[in-house]
Amino acid sequence: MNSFNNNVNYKNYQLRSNVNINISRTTELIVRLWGNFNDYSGPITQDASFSTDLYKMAMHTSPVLFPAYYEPDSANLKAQHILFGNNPGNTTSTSNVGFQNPYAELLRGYKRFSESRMSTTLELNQKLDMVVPGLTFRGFFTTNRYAYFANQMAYNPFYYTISARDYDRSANTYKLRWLNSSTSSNPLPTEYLIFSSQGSKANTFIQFQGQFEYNKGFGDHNISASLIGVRQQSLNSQAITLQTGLPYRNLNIAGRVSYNYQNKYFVEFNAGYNGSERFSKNNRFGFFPTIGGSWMVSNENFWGGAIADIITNLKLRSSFGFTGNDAISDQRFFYLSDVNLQGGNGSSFGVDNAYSRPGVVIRNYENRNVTWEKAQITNTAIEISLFKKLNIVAEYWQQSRSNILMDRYVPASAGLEAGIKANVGTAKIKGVDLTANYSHKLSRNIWIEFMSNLTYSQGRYGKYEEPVYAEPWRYRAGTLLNQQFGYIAERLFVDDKEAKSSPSQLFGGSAPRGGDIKYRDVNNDGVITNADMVPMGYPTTPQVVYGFGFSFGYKSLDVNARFQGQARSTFFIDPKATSPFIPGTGSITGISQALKVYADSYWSEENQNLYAIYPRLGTNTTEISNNLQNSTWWMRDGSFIRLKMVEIGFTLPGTAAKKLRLNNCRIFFSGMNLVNFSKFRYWDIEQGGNAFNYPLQRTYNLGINVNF
Amino acid sequence: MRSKIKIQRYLFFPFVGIMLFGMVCITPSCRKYLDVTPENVGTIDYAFRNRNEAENYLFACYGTLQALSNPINDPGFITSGEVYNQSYAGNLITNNFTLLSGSQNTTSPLLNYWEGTNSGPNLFQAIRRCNIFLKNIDKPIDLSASEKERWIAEANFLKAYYHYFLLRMYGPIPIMDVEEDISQPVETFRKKRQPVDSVFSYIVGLLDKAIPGLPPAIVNVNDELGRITQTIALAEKAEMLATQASPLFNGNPDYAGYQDKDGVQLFPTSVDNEKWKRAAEACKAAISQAAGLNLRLYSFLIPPAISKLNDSLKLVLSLQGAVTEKWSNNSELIWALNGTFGYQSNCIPRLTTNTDVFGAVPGNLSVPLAIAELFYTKNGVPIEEDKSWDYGNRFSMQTADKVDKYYIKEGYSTVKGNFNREARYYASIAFDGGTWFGGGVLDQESMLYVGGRKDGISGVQEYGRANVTGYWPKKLAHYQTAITSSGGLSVVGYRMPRMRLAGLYLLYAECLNEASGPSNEVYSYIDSVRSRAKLKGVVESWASYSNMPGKPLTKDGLRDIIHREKKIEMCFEGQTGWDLRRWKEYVTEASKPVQGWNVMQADIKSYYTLQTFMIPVISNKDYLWPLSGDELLRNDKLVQAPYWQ
Repeated sequence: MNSFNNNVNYKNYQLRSNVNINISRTTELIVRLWGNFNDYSGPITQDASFSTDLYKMAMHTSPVLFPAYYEPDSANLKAQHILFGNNPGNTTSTSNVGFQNPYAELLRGYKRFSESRMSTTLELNQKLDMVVPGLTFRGFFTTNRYAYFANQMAYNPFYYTISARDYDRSANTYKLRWLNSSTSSNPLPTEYLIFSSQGSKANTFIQFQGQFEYNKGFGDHNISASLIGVRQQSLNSQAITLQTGLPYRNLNIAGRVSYNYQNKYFVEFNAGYNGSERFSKNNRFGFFPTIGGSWMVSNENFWGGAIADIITNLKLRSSFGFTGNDAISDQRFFYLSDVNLQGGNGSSFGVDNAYSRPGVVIRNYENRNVTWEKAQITNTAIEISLFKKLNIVAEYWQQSRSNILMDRYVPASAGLEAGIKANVGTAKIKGVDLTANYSHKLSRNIWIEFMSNLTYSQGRYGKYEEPVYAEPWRYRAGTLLNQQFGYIAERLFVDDKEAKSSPSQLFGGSAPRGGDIKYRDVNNDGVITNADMVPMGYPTTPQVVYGFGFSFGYKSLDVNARFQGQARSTFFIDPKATSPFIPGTGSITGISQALKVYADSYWSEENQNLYAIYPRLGTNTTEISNNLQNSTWWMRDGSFIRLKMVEIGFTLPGTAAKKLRLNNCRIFFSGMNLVNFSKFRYWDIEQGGNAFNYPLQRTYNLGINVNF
Repeated sequence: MRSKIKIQRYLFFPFVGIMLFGMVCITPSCRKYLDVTPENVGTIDYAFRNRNEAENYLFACYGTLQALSNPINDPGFITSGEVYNQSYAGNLITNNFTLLSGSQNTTSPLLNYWEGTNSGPNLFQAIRRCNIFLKNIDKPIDLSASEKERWIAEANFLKAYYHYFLLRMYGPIPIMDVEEDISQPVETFRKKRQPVDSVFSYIVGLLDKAIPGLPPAIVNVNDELGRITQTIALAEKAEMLATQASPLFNGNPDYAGYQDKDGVQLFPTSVDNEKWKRAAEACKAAISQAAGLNLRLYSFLIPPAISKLNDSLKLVLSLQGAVTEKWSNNSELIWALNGTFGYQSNCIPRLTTNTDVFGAVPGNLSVPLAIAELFYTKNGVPIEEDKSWDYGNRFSMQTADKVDKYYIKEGYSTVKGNFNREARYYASIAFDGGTWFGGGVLDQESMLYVGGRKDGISGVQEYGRANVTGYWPKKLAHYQTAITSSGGLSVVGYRMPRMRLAGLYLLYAECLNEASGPSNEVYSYIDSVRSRAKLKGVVESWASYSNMPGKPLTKDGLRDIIHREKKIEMCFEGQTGWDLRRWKEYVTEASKPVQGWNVMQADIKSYYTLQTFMIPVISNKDYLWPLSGDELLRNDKLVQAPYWQ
């Protein structure tokens, strides 16, 4: 009954143009223009996710509560609209449509958006050999413009239900009841499309960059130096407060001097002098120098003979320096209080509350002391090539972060409307990066390549803003970065009686019952509180990330494969998002479906499995609040290896291609996300803790690549 | 060629700029590039530039007070045991009712007014706003002296009231007298709990400071009704002093060992009866102020829309109107918060067959049987004491006669307990077979009525929308709130009284009895409340009908009578929860099992079988709110509430 087309139609256009103008022998001007334009037309989605939220909605719709649509009953035989199913649900609002019907959401209309991104760069390269030999100047002016608008055309669906008494099972006849018939329904159902604008977005970015470069060799001495100055600004149209409406600016000056002797000994000095608009004038600029040196052992005169044939390249390098980070919180300006003088805590007076004032709210307090987060970085590496075939880079690094911004511990009785932060935290991170590549041509027709990389890192907090705890396990200081704290789950409660007689576990919802998770009372005080939360598992960001792959060619055939993986990480199933039969959060309000893994193993009165995957079921978060706590019950090993990509290609031999008047022709077949090896098998591990996230897709491509 | 030259010229300037920039960026002028914030960015100073802005800030000080108007976040309403929210469907979405089933905890305390979480408005923030206001109120250049005096008085009242609210919940609390500067070390924000008597002296002192600056009554009612007046402040002062004198705070032996970390006693260890005297005097002062303003107990004026009204029904409307009448027409109302009572649809039964089953009228707030049994017989004495009332057979059936028809539908059979009760019973509670004047029908001969049994118009419906006990808090629905022809609910709003004259009279009677025992003055104030309900005086009623005829003559007996009178008169008004606490009756009264009828049954016999829905789990520790473990960590000077350690 829909006469419009709302299939996904996504078009992308790109435009690129570079113009080089040699203004003089020493001056070159480059103009780069680049545009990227997208047009989308398709089903209505809440976000720009190509309707993946419809998937989420379907996952939050009970399959037995109502059908996608009804066949008309006798009263609706002539209806011109689709009789979508729905259910009045358990709502106290006057609208009787209790749920989202994903089928109706899919069919009700379509949405269009257009976005354009344009960028221009002017670049000036000026050789200044006439002033100082080896000196050049490069200047850039870049601006990006982004614009987006969207609108939708949709009808508001008609929803129907059948109540039990209106269904005659024997005759299989029923009477539909129109749910959103009342004029107070919001929105009122329509058979025609209604237009609504979905807003527009725009932002601009401007950057100026000037850079002097100097390169000169004096016999065995080579010197190069540069000085770069950058200022940039961005503005966006979606600002909602004065502070976000102001331009975002950065100002950076960086210098670099490097020297080498005979290409054997290298020294380099870098320094950045960076300004951030977020801090007060006294703390605005940070100076971050770095010094490094390296030794190209294989360039030494003594490097020769047999060893030089085995180790064809050897380099040792090391550096020491500082960096700064100003992206340390969402707060726009730390040095300025943010007060909303037009809203919050308002009140109204009068017989009919006729006289109102909006009130005042303090969103942030002025804090002039906040400044750059600093990191001291040391780095040592060895680069080695064996037989000109195997290249290995091994690097050990260490970061000592200080001035980490943290919330001060201020009692609630102070009555502050916003938190106070200070640069008080420290952390140490250590890591190793390894890269090894091997390439070998076995014969004229056979070649082979291996590549691999691995990063291992581990970070721990040093100082952390926290109170004096009675329980030593509560301190974050000394724990791993991104390590989660939670309760130790022992098993499920046997029955209500046991739940009642155990240490009390109250988290603002109902008291626990049989089948709920029993937590360990670590401090033995008879109550489960925050004090019983302990650090658990590995960090949520993996400590080990690696990838490896190979390519292999025989004549016209080539085979490529890439693996990637991670290890030493922990992740948590999100019980709030995955629990069956409870209302979803955010824009998805339906009742979540039951995952198979939970359906296969859950605690019930009939099957009181104390180690079932899912504990006692409930119909809202209050009933099962006990089980929604962060605990080892939901903790899982996050490591996996994935065969990310396999590609088989066949290139037409030169002679065959020539016959077809082609320069080059390659046919390929590739598959993405083919196999995954992981201990976690409930759902794809890269969906994270929420099984209802749009799943990672396995895709296969068959393609042909032709050059004329 | 020409265009090339043009480009060259056009681009010359930016590039010179870039080059210069590269050179001079370290100079101060370029640093200005990062000064993106203009001069007039709104900071707190701007809130006091002129009268207009300062008034906005005054309203921000009031903001939290108005946020307190939501009864389902008010411990006085939620923990009174007067209503039960756990129906099969259509419940109010709140965890607060679970307080009575023992869900209070220290990890995430329910109704956490201290930290402003779990539906509790943040009162310490509100106090800080009052302090900011008081500190800066000299700044506005166009604020007249008289207005300034009034505003300062209002801010002082609010500051006192917020402290008082916390004091009632938490007992000893830190006194926040000034705005602590934000740039101080964090340690200075860590304040101790002060002994309760210090807090009471402090807040009463603030009221004494505020009262002279307040207007006696609001003149510009259209714009200002709800702002604090002298009468409100005097009545609240009386309530504060009565709270201080009450057993919870006055020499409570349960808290004898409760000290802070320096060994300071936080509750007085001995009972001081003088406190009752002070409270009685404060009540008297408030009553005479109210009398001077011609405030009197409300009685219903028959509007032209009602052609005929029997005295029994007029009485019901008078009793209901004391709560639901518009403030400007309610001669009894001393103070209400400006928020409108938002849950009439949860209190009203479905009265017509076309009532929207799903949305408009969930009617789920249920009154436990114990509350229904609180109300007196028509003789003005408790049902268990009335010699002429058949207490033993109160659950047997009786069919309504013509004489009962204004209260119970003629010819309808219901339990005996619903017959021959005082008018406040019929005004406050709706039950199976009870009449409902209003709801869209203003003809007393064809009144709507409650059909509570399954298949009855008000009974349990498809999808489980029901009142599980079979008793509705009728008092909380305005009589003109009606079901529309499309089945929706057209609500006539009202503001829940925070202080009305009847309550003040009973408070005075209570304080006077505690201070000096029964006297004619004590009787006269109880009796004036009773006489509005067309009940005879306590002495006479007890002497003639009670099996304990001498009860009003002793101090203890009269105390019982006053407490019960107040629970009846102020039922569902968000007062009882507080009163039970200060009387130390909370654990005994609010832990009575929640009982009611079997509403899933259509048959009269099966319907009237007693069901128990919940047995509350509360104990001594629930008199005061616990602090969260986090707050104790943030402030090591605090001690946890008694029995919560």
